[in-house]
Amino acid sequence: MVPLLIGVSIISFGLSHLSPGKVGDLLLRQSGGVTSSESAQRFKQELGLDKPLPVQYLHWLCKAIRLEFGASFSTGASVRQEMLKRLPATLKLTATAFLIMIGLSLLVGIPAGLRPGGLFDHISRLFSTTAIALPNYWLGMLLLYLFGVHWKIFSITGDASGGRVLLPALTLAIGMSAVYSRLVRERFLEVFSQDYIRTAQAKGLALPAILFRHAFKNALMPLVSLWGMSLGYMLGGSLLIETIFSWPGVASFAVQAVLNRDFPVTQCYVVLMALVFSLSNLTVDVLQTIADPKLRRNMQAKKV
Amino acid sequence: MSWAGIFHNTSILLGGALIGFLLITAVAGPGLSPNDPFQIDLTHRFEPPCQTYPFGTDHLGRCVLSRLLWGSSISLGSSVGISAAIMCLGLGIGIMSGMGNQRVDFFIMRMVDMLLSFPSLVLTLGIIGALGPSLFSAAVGICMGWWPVYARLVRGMVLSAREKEFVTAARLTGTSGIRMTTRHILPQVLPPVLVLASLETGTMILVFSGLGFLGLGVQPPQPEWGAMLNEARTYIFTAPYLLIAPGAAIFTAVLGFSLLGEGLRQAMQVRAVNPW
Amino acid sequence: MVDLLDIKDLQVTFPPWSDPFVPVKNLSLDLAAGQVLGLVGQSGSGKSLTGLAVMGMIPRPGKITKGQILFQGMDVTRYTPEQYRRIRGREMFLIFQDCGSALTPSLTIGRQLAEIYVHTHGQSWKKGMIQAKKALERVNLEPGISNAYPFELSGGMRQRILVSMAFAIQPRLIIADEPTTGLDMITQAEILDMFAALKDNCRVGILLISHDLRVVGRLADDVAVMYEGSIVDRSPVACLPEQGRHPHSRELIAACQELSYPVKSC
Repeated sequence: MVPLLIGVSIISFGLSHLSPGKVGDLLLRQSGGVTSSESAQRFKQELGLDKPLPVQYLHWLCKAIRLEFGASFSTGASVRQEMLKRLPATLKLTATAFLIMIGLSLLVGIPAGLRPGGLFDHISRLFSTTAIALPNYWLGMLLLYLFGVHWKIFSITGDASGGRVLLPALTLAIGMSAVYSRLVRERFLEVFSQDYIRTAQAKGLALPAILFRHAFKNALMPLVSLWGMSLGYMLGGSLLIETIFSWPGVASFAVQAVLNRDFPVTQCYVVLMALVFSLSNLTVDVLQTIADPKLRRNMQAKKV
Repeated sequence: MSWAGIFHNTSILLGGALIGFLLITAVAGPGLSPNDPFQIDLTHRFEPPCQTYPFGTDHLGRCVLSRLLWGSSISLGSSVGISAAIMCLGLGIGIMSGMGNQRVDFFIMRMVDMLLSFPSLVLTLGIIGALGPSLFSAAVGICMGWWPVYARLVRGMVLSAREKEFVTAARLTGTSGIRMTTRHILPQVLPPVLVLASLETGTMILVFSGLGFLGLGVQPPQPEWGAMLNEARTYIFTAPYLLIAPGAAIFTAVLGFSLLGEGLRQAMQVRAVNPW
Repeated sequence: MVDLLDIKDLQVTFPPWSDPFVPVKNLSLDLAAGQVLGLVGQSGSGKSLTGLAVMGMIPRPGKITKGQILFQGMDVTRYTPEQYRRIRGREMFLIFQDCGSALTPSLTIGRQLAEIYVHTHGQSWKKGMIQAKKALERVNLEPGISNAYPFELSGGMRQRILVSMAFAIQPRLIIADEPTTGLDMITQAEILDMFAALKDNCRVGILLISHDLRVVGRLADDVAVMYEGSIVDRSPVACLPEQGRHPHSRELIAACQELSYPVKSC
């Protein structure tokens, strides 16, 4: 885990130094100063840009750990403060989208898997194929138009208040739930052809008992790690969704930052997202180990 | 894989038809367009579809259809190119990792893991942030964000291909590394990779035009489908119909590649390959 | 005396309906309570499907196209799925051959056994878990196993657990599909003894399906030979060598005698 984080930080640092010359020039332009070679040199010294790379890296690392990226080029406010203020909104959006995605893929995938070749199966396949190809930002805009402009149910401008999260979260969730509903279908189809389901049927159990007690865990266990990876997609997708729905999260802020060449914000965003993503993957791994009896026994055996 | 079977496969036919149509627009688009996509005519803003302007005009009086056709070359062309680059990178590095010795494999996989700690689009954003928004930085960004997944997949396929009996037999008869790779490993790995490539081109179109939508890729006044959607966004109150054409174009293109990929998968009887 | 089970002229068909596949045709057999009927035949003769048909668990898209299954006098082929579900796990039970996946991998053995007490006998989960431990003892297994998962146990242990499920349910009819296949000889003998105990203590009727005539010979009262979907011979088990007329029966008997433990004089 630790070497991974070090590697992550090196990459982030590398990104931030892809165009050092531009950074210096931009700073000078921001400060409104006339660019003479001496003042350029002085600014570079002040920023520590003239020191050797490894030193710069360590310097950067110490600050990055505390999410200390200085002041935003555009707003002048502390990057750290602004990002942390906006983070909860993004997390709220992503978490809601994640839940909707799981719910949708189960709702669509399970009935399709239980009755393959049936009407629901065909309809769900149509839904999946369409939803995968649909650009989520296009869908977002169409929904925004329908609910925001035409029917005026949804307020276009934004705060991160409760109900308002539903429409953006749904838009974010649809693409992935289309993919996962197919996977869920495959898994349930496979599980229901297994002998232990027949044993359960021979016991005379009703469908809900068979489904939830016997089938669920076995069908969904392999998908848990995939669901974890989908969080990455959601964090990325929030760049588009937050922009469309004027959602006050870190992603919309980051997009503006890139357009404005606001490097500190961009760097902070990249580092922050890597942290969030790594943490969530770790959580998913832990959850999977707890839930899967085989993994749990392996862990217990290792402890002995 | 039977060539005759292709004609019975609805997916391939439909997907192929869509893509064929789009490729024609991509290649011949500029020639086919009725008007100059860059020509601004402020006296004819927001025109509804008519004879001169079959799809109407946008907020600057430019012909929507022409922009769509020109944008086809940019959006489709770039996406296909990026997809090809990612596949080559992923294939090459994956094979190197899978066929190489322990140390090479370890080193490459650590690199891949590090890159995969970032959500792909976030990495892309970081690169575009450093290089400044442009078509080039978007292309580089997307490549860097997406090749690791494929490298890892290919490596997995290579490793399981190596386990197969006929490969062991080849090794025992002293087949050298390169010959082994091309003669024995590659034919096993290539079909799923091709299926993936087709499916992924669809994703690339979405990502590339998504970046254009955010203003982070192709810069105006270049007609790119995502960028056109972005421009339409400002006028969502007055001219919401401007949203339809570029979005439908993107949707059709992605659908075409998805169907083609699905059809290829059925035809080549590849087990469901999932990049996630 | 009403037969426990009376199958008349059963036919099971699978699609494609234009050129249907008929694995069970004109099958008739009967079984009385307290009786063990062995059903022997080669792989593919339709034995397992017969057992599934009686339970109403023929895999989709197959179905029963002709005939009747009279269970305790009622024609169960006319039953709705819900009616059928109510008699499964109470009046009738099917023990599968465990190829490794007859028990749910994600549940402990205790839960899977307790489930029967909860569902069939209406007890609480707490009581069910206690009963589960007792059930394990009855089949010579450690009660501590109730905390284990199926993947931690051997094939013999899992098969015994499946048999203990039958003990727990105490149905009128048990169908055992290849209950000893794949097990070592000692475990095989133990399992057959358990079936004998079931038969003696509970007056249960057992349909023992096997391709191994020796296993059937040890436990069954009567034996029916199945060939290509129908019964070709039926007799008390000891009389099969004399009364078995069908060529397939004769082959089975001959093969059985050849495979028997060769007794050489010292």
